[in-house]
Amino acid sequence: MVDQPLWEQIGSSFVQHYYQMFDSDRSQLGSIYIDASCLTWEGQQFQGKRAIVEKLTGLPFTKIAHSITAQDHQPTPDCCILSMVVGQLKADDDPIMGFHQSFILKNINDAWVCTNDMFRLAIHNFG
Amino acid sequence: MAGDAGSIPELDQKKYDAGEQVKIICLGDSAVGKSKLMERFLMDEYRPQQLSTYALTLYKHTATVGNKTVAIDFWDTAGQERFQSMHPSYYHKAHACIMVFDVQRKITYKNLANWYTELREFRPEIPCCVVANKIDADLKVTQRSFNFGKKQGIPFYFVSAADGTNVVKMFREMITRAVEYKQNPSDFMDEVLQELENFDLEEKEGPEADEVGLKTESPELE
Repeated sequence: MVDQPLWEQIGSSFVQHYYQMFDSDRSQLGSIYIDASCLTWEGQQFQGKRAIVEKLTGLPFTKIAHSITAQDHQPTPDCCILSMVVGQLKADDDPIMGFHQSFILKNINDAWVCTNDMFRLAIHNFG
Repeated sequence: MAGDAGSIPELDQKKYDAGEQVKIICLGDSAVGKSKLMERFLMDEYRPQQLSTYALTLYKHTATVGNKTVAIDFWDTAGQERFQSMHPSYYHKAHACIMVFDVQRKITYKNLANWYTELREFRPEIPCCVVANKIDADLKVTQRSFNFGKKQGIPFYFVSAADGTNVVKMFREMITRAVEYKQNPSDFMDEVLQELENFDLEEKEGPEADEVGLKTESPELE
């Protein structure tokens, strides 16, 4: 078996970890952000671990499940990892919707944290 | 790429310019019962069309208003409001709007103000109403006053999608108002004032108040 590049391994285990936490207990997501982290959620900006976790835990659904369709990871020149995820989600009893999410991961004190996070539903214009 | 949607007949919004086509949108927080209201009103003709790429559910209905047959598209969200994204085309060319909240959840009532502001950004004049859903859970709520409708000058209905109270009355009045707005958009303010005058009377008459010569037809839509 060919070894995956390191950034692929780190990126995909981050993605797995992130959505597993998101789907089971969003309040724990604080562990992956730092005070300099930025989240752009459907165009709305949030900065800092606290503001981000507040936003994510405040989303009005009790159950959510993500299913990842595809993910890509790249090393950046400053030793970070850029990740892009395309997938589908189901919140409570609503119909399934597509989404895109991108992350930048940075190694700080031997731990990988998320410094940037951007989320959009894959909803397109009509009319 | 937006233009591509034009090739999907359901989403070609030019059709709403035609005389016999009306578009009515539903607004309100998730889980207030918007889809349940549709289901209750349409009953047997309940055949929603899920357009998942657009996070949209369409319900088609035919009604007779005066002596005219009107095709109505009810637009319902498919849950994107949980993520706070409503695309402007949701509002585009709408002729009326039904704003729903859940009497059991205060926050859904408070959020009406946000929904109303957004609606008026896109559609400053279309007829609108406020619907207090789930009154079956606790009939005492109908004694309480919810002033949002009055403050904005729009009709208010206590309904229950679960047992059907006031549902048909609310939808039929909104259909009539949508058609009237479409035929005569400039008379809109007069229309509102008149609605308001009638409003208190209707309240006392109860759910079965007469229904202005409106009857539904069994639709053949597919």
